[in-house]
Amino acid sequence: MEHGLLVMFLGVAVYMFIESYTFGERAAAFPRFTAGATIVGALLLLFRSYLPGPVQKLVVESDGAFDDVADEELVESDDATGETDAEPEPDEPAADAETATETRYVDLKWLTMHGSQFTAIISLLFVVVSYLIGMLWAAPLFVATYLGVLRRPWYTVVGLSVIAFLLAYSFVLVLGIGIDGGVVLDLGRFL
Amino acid sequence: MTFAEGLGIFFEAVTIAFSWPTIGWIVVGILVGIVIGALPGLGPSLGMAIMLPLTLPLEPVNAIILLVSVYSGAMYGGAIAAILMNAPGTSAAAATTFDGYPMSRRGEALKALSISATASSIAGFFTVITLILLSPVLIEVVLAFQSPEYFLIALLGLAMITVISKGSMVKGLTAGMFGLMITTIGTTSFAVAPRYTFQDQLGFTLNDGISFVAVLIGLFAIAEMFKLAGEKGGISRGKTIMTGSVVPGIKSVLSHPVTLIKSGYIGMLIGAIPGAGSTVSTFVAYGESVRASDDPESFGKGNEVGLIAAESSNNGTIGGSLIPTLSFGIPGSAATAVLLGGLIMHGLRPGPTMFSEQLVTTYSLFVALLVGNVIILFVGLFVITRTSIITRVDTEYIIPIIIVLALVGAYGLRGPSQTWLDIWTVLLLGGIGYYMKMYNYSIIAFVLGVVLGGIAETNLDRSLQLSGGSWSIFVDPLNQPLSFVLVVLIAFLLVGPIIKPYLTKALANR
Repeated sequence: MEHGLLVMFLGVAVYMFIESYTFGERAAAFPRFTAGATIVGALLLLFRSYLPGPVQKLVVESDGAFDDVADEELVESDDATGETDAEPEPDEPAADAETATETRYVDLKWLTMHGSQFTAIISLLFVVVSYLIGMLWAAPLFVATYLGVLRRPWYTVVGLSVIAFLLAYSFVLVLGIGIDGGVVLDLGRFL
Repeated sequence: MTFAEGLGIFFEAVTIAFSWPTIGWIVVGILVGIVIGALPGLGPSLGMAIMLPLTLPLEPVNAIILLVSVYSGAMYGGAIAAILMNAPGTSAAAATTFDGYPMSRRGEALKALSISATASSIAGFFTVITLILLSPVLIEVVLAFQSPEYFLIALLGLAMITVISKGSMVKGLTAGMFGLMITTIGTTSFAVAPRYTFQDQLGFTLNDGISFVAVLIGLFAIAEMFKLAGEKGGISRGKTIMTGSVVPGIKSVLSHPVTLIKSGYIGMLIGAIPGAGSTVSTFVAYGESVRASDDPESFGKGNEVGLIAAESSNNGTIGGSLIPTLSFGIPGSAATAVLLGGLIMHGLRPGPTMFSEQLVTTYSLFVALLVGNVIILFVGLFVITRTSIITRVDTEYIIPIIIVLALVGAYGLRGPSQTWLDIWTVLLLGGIGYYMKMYNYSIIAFVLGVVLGGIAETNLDRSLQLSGGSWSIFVDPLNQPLSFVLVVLIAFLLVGPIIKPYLTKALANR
């Protein structure tokens, strides 16, 4: 997946670098400089296994200035929490003290999904439903669906859905934003 | 500026900080910050990012004071869960668990909490006083910087962050450059030239570019929630009984003035280094207290000195991290990167103006921090010691609420024509940020790029205009000595890790 991220960096940077030649000289200097640097960085990271030794070491992992101190202390931290602080492999997801925890899965009865994946999909649906009926009404629906799928007690589902509605409504009051209606349904008149 | 003028401005700032509604925003910010810091998995940067849209209707000075109060409150709040549940609310509170949690387990939870509140507020107080006293010197330094130096200082900040923080330097630099690059979308301020606006491809144009606040919300709120959603263990099932008493905790802090002062200043010094942050400073201060102790074996088993060191350096970091943020626009941590975003969003530019035309705002910020530390002491001693339930909130309940706050907040950032662009930006950057975190790409470098892009480009353009388009303005030791020194520093930071093994080997062979 890291390669996907790098290809995205590279693709966007190459496009922006080429497109900068359609701008005037003053407007092109900075985008060309930043896109050029991004291209070099992304290429180094994509082809790091083919680089000569010292450069490869720099590209793969380099020690932070405070690593000696932090690592020493993290050993104590790990003793206390039972977690590990393994050095991440270049192509493996980071596994430092902050992220070395058990993975959470969501059981949808017909499908078991990674917790992050589930949250990303349901957030995407929240935005789509917000476009259709308005974010004010979509917010409690989103919270209720999220907690319902995770099989939380009904009173917490109801309570937090009401809190979500009130929070969204507080944004309407403070910022005066029009989130009470969407392209399909406009329930704003009921407020 | 004379001493008398400076004093006059300071008293004006005191008046502002104690006026209504400013004082109200300080209280609200501290309380919101403490709650956010105490909730498992949330930290000051996330709290400040979701508060950013709500500051839009506020006066700039009140908005920044609210944000900095959230920051200060959250830094203290992280210790509550660390002491009671062995689950630090923020990474900066990790060192607090070493001695704070063992104290709770042996029935001294109230004493540990009062040590935390007292050490945090006293250290926060004297480091901010130091910052105020240092500001005349800072003013002189900042005024020596011109456009070429400001462009280079942005690059130096990126280089320092990527070198100091653990991981691949190239990953950090690439992330930072990508951040700088996406700020070039939209019309330039100096040449009125539309760039990457996709006028023919989209139903709207990107003339106003990508909102950096939407990027901040995506990276700090959504990406963090995606990450939390994939991890078990966001809740501590245990229940701590609040036993012990408050007064011995206060006495304990006051009877260890050397640890308190030393750790506070360690926090301040390390906090001033871009990228180092409070996580590093608390570990360094804790390590120093172990080194200086006659009884190092007792650390990690509930030694009060260890807790004092961790907590005083934690809040001491706040003052330190404001130095590069306000002076040069280089944030010392993720939270100050969001604060920098808030400054720019409200039309305040870091640099000389913060210490000349905007000096009242800057001093108001410092005074707000001083007041905030008094509130932390009061809340820590009399409220938190009676309310531990907050630390037991399950992350499954927090995630949907934060996502709602983040996306609704994004809706109100700009005018109706940009609404859905900002919402999709938040969601997309949330996804990108999630993968960047997963593969160890520096989020702070990316954010620094996004926040500083406009300032860096304006200063690069001004520099090139001054030099007639020649990049040699940055490497002219006779006419631009400061720029030259900065270029050498950047080169040293970037090339240093490559030549370090050879130098070490050569020195060892001698």
